[in-house]
Amino acid sequence: MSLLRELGYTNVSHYPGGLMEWLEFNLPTEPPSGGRPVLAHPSRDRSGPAESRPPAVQPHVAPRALQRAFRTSWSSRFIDALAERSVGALFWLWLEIVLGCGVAYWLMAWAFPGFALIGTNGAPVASGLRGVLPALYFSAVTATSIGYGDIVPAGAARVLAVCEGIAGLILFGCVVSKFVSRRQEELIGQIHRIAFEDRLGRVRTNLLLVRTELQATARLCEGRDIPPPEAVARVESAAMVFVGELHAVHDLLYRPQDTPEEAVLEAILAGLASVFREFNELLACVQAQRTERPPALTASVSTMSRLAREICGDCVPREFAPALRTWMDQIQRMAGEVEQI
Amino acid sequence: MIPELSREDLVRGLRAGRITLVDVLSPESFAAMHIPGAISLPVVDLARRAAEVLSDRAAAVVTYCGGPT
Repeated sequence: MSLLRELGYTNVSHYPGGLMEWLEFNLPTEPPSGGRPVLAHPSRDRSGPAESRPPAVQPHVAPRALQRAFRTSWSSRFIDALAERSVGALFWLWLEIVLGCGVAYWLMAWAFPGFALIGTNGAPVASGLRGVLPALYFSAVTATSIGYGDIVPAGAARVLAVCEGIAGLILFGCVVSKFVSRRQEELIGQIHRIAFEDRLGRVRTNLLLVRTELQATARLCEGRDIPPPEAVARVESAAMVFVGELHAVHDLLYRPQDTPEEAVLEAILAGLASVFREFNELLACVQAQRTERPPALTASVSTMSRLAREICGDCVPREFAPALRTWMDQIQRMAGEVEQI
Repeated sequence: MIPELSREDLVRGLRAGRITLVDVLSPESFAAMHIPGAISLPVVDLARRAAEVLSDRAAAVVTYCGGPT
């Protein structure tokens, strides 16, 4: 927030994850203590008496339903933990389980011969170092849920074998489903991208239409002392469409997961700037003679100004497109001007 | 450049009351949900209202927007 720096605040930092990251990690959205906002350095606070603080800065307590929605159960957290690991990590985990359980069977067979692993002939598997390979083999056969039955568990080894079978099956299922879903995710990403670009393209076309309409209206207005009422009506409807486009641009730019390319963004911002310039000129022309303005137009103008300032404000877009500052500054300036007219 | 702050540092700073957290999103967004202890100061109002909301210019101020930037 370089604007804060410009205003003379020397000690500003930014929390880049923002509200989304905060919610993703299920952090509380309620004030930690009391109802008062946390103010820095109360001793150095030179704001004077406390009651002079504006009421708008009182913290708001998030609704209970919202908090419940963000609190997840242990089962979904377990699934999330599995889902966020890569295929390789899951496979290693599976191998670790197989090896770990194999070593456990081996030690059990060594410590209690005849009560851990029994071969098909009814004799316990060899203890000592010669029992390592049969134990690992049994572990792998169990974890893959093949279960040939040439070696069977006995005693406490049965419990471990069942647990290993369940864990191995779940992990293996996760690995397989990840393999399958990876391709699908790629496709979905591509579809999203296409839809996004399509929307950007539509915004550009609509901006062009608004511009053409404004130019046509400007021709109506030029060279006359009193602009015809139809000119005002056309300005009004053009303003409405323009507000809609600003909304669309605002919406597109505030979704940081897929940001438009700089060239596309520049074209859109250039379009916005030129439409804004013409709108300002036209508004001044229409306004020159009549003093009263239709309420719909007033509302459109104030929304327009607010949205344009947000689009080109210090928040998201400026940070990913520092090269486009000149356009943004232009739009910001005109957004300020439109309310003065 | 504005230095960036990790989530852990933010939580620690908020607990200790060392920082002023500023939500620069719109008032509607702030009303729906915000980080506890944050005060609302939308980007559009920064220039106009900063002086009254953030009276101490040397105090530690942390800002946040909607999401990853």
